Order: sequence, then C-alpha cells, then structure tokens
Amino acid sequence: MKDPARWRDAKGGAGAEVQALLRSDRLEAPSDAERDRVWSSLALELGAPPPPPPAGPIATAGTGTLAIKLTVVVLAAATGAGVGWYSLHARDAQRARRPATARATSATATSPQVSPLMPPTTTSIEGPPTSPAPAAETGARPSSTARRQVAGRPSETRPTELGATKRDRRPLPESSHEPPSRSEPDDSPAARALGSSWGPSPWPTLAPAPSGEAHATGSASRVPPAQLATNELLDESRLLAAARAALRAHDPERALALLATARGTASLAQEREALTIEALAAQPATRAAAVERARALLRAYPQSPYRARIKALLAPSP
Amino acid sequence: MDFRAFYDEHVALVWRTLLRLGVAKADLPDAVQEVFLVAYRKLPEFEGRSKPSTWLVGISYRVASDRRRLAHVRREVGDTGAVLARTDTRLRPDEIAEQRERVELLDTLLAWLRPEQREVFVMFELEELSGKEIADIVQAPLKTVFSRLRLAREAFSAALAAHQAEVSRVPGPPLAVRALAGKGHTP
Repeated sequence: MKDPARWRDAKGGAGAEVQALLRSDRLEAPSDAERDRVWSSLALELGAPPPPPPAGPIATAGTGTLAIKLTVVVLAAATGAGVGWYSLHARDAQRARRPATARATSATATSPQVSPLMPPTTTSIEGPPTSPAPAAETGARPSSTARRQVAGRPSETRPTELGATKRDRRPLPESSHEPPSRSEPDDSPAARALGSSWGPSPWPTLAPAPSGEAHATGSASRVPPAQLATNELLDESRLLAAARAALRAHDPERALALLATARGTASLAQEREALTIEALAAQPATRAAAVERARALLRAYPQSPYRARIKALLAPSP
Repeated sequence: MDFRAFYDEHVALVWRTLLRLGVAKADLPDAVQEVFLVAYRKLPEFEGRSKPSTWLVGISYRVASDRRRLAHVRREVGDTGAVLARTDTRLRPDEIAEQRERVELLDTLLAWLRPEQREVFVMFELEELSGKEIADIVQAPLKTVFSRLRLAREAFSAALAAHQAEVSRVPGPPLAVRALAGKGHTP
C-alpha cells in the first residue's frame, strides 16, 4: 500500500496556510541552555547518580555544590578514563615482559588511593569513621524517577530501597575493578548503523572500595585513578543522599548510621558534616554534640553554604 | 560518533516530537532525558533496520504515550509559548511574531486531535516517517494508520477553519486557545 502524498508536498493538496503551519514546526527547538541542562542531567544519570534531592535549607545549599563537583569529576573522568585505561593496558603489556619483583613494586606505586582528582583528605573537622559503605546500603542506583519522588513531585513508579525503580533493571557491575561493559568496543548492528563506536560511559560502581592493600595488588591496579576517584565520590554522594532521605523521613538514627559508613571524601566533607549535625540535632540526646560540631564546622568553614542552617541549629529552641 | 554527538544531533528532533505528541513544555526536559536514557540502554537491541531518527521517534512515541496514560500529560493554555530557537535573525519583529504565532497555532490545532490520530499525523506530516514505519511504531496495521491519518487531516482542517472563522469574526486575541480556555477543553 502506497503512502499518500504529504501535506507539505505540492501534490499533498493542502493549502498554503497549512503548509506554512507544518513548516513552522521545524522552527521549534530547545535553546542551547536547555540542551546543556538536559545533557548534564543525562550524563549524571548515565555515568553518575543524580544530584541529591533538596531537603530544606541545607540540602538546597548543598545540591548546587554537589552537582557542580559531580559534573566536574564526571567530565574529567570521562576524558581521563579513556587515556588512563589505554595507558594501563600498555603498562600491562610492558609488565608482562618484566620480572615479578619489578611488577610488585610497580603495583604498589600505582595505588589508586593517590588520585590527581582528589584533594588531600585532611580537614579540620573530624568526620565519622571511614569504613566502606556496605553494598546493600548503597547498592541501588537512584533513578530520575526516584529523584522526582524524593523531591516531592508526583511519580508513577514506586521506588524500592533507596530509590531503585523498575526502570533500573540494568544490572550494575559486580565490582569496581571490572571495566564497565560500555567501555568495550561496540560492534553491535546499532553501532554499525550509526557509523560509530559509542563513547565509553563508565557506569558507576556501588561496591565499596577495597582496602589499600587490595588496591596495590592484582586487578585493582588496573583501575584508572580518575575512575576510582569518581567512584568514591559517587558512592559517597549516594550515601549522603540516602542519609538525607532518612533525615526527611524523621529517621536520624538511620541517617547517622549511613553517615558513619562514609569513607570521608574530602570534597564532600561539608555536606557530610552538615548532615551529621542535622541528624544529631534531631535527637534530644545528641543535641549537645550537634551544637559542638556545628560550632566546629563554622570555625572551619566560616563561608560555608550551610552557615545559615547551622546557625539556626545553634539557636536555642523556643 | 559518541553519545554526546548523537544527542546533539537528535535532541531537537526528540524535543519537537515530544512536544507535538502532547508532552507539556514543563515536562519536556524530563521526557527528553527519558528518551535518551532508553536509547542508551536499548542500543544493543537496535538493529539498525531503521534510521536512528525513526528509532528515536518511536521511543519518543512510547514515552509520550506512557506519560499520557499516567496522566502526566496536561495541556495548559499558557504552555503554548513557543521557543523559536532557530528564528531567522534577518526577520523583522512582526515576521518573528508571525512565526511564533504560527507555531502556537500548530500546537493548538494538534491539541484538538484525538491522541491516536495526533500521533500518526505528527509522525507522518511533521516528522515525515513512512506509513510502514509508523505502523511498526504504533503496532497497528498499515490500513489503520492511513485511516487515522485521514481522520486526523479532517480534524486538523476543521479546527483550522474554525480558527480562521473566529479570527475573521472577532477582533482581539486570536487562536482557538481562547476557545480552549473558555470551554475548559482538555484534549
């Protein structure tokens, strides 16, 4: 069966007014700012968790900072991961030709704990213990649907633990040491049809980072430092989002428990500490500790974006 | 081509298609993101039998349908503020205004179509997909597609005629938008 002539065509039989109307459709497009905004959010979704939902003044102040940090790190990792991966593979080939003792030395030297992307982890405020987050706690990648629901907007799907929805059926890599499957050359018909190999998209891994010893041996040394730094930051940002959600659910104990599992990424020190203070302040028994830590935070970060919120916590209750 | 390049190349198409399929402007960024997320995840299943643009229109169709089914699509009269990102800067202000009004009118007229007719009309007349491609996307026989297209054309023409009659009769704000607002029409 043959298609009828389109109205746009001269043979379509539509009047000039209709043709002008149909042609006007192509004039509409997203602005550059809208394109970039959607892409930023999409990039986070593909390679990083969404920014944490706003929850009161603290979360509002933190969201922007966190989003900027994540965007910078993800973009840096996206460019760095490819180069790093290639160079590490090249190094593997070289190592195969070297004696075992030399390989061991090299493995220690390439410990990914030292990342060019990560600032020193020393801060003037002592954070909570830095044991790795249990995978069960952070094992779900929050979707945008979950983010919308957490943010108080209507959502059609019911999120499961920590916001996983039906949309997130893609299994995540078991270990952060395995390269994401996307980074492998895509020889699918789709890629061929697009005339391309799709760019690598390192999916964030949620498993806790191994200890320093593990970093220094075996496959751990193959993880590009930039990717590892990104993973750590992403894990921690997820943890903070979960803690924030627990706080909003009036469950400060759970928030504190989550925060206690944070590794202590320096980039998120303020966010982590502010949340800890808020959780402590939410319980009468620990309010004094909250005040103490709040004062310390203000001393350490006089210009903190959480300043107003922290000061409000310090004010005596009516 | 990496995914960013793919996105840049097709985001306008996805944006426009979702808008014409009835996704409210306020929901567009979310919906566009959803389409590209699906595209990214479904890439291994995309066999290259169709053009990427056709494939994306299909995904956009499903995303828009889901949102409508979940009552996320709402037609708001104030939502018709068209963004003419590619307005020719050589045009005079009155010509630009005319273009904008035309885009708004197109949106308004589409809102009068039944959803299944609108989908076929948008894909055939605006995105210029073939009947076969549309049939594959909406999972309906080709005859059904052409039948919907015929009905959509009739409804579109009738709505345009009504609009023109109203403009010629009543001075003031044009467009059937007024009728939509006054009658509380919810397509």
